[in-house]
Amino acid sequence: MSKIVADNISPRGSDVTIAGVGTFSSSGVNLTGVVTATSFVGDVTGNATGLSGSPTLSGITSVSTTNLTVNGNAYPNGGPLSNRNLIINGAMQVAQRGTSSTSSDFRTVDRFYYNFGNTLAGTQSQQTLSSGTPYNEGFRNFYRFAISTPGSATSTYCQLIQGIEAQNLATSGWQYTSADSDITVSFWVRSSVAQTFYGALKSSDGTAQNYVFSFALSADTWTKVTKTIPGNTNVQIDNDNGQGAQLIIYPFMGTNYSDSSVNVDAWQAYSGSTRIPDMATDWVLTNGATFDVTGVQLEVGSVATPFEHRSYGDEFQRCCRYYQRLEGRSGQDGDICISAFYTTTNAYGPIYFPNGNMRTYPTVNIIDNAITFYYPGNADASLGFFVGGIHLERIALNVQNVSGSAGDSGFLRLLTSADVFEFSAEL
Amino acid sequence: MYQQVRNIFGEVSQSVIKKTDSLTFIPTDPDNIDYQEYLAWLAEGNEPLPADDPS
Repeated sequence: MSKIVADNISPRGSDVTIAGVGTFSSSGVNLTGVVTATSFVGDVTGNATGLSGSPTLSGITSVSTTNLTVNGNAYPNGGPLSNRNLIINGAMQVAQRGTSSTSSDFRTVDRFYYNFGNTLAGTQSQQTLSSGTPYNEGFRNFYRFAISTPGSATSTYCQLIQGIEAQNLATSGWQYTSADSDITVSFWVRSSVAQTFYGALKSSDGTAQNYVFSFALSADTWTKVTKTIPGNTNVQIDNDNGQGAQLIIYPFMGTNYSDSSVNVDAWQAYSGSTRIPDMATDWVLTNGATFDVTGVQLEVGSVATPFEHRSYGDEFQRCCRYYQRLEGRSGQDGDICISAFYTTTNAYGPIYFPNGNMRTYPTVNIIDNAITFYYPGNADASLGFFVGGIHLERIALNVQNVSGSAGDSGFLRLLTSADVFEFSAEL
Repeated sequence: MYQQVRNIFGEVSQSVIKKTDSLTFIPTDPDNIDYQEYLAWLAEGNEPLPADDPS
């Protein structure tokens, strides 16, 4: 028999089996070979597993899933598709102020600072990364704190902070007052001492709110930390240029600032004496202990997508909204601002910020090592300075202790790299 | 410690305050964190040094 023609095949039992082809039953069709058809109609439900080769899916207009990963890369489920990272300089590339300092606060890596003190002493520094998993993911720098004098279990504090401008958060797409809307933080971290550490996202406007999370580290091992944080009805973020939130990573906080009652993975009102749960003291009591961080990202949605590497120039410009400097250079002409004599002893003129407007009117710090004022036939050092007006894009500088004639003009030279004008509008 | 300063016209500046231990000039801007620190210092009952006499 070469052909069976039938209008209706009725199974004797529950299934119809065609040897070598497959089985047809009320629960489905199970075929052993390849299915070829001109079209499929109807919904596809359940999990499609075992897809291999190079299947082509066309005509798909929507994919809805909580976690979509393609070739190992997580894809966002919220927020924009570019400029996702709300953290500036998360790869620790830019360090305008310097690369190493034993002082607390803004001293080295831009936009971040280690705030530390109360018996704890150490060095904060921008370090070069030369191997390891974060290196393979494109990171070449990290931000380190190294202990030179161990702290105390009660009063010592050491926290790595970046303040986030409120309007950047307010317009990010994170519905920060909704528990159904998430923001996700991720970063690479390494400690020379194994211990459980803490981090937090702390809102700044209104009544400050605090969301604490923990992470355990093995000694000398880079670890990728990710934490998804929901919104909360008590969180307030204004659409302005003030500080909207702080992302904080805690190498250590003494018991003056911690309490065992603090909950992790939950929002609560911020209190300076109950910032985080009580911490182990292994790290803070170890002379020479180090704490390293890089690849800090904060993004809308519940997925930690791959770090958004931005160019050095891009990150540098972003940093300059908060800090800029004019620095001299030995043996070189330049670094000059033109100034005109207002009286015989006072010269006056503007200095425009080299990289655009700043977040707010900046603090001006003048480091005068050998700043010299030149004018026709003369050069004055041992100058006095007064900043008469501070604007978003410039200052009005009054140079004193000069001796010329009203109406003359001159120029200011920063003769070495130790001669600096700093403009700071940090959060 | 802080000190008032005079502008080039010899008037005490209402827009800038100076730190006495450095050439640091702080704008009287509530969004500036150094000015916020200055306000907290004032709130503790401190007062800035008066400006030097005009030259």
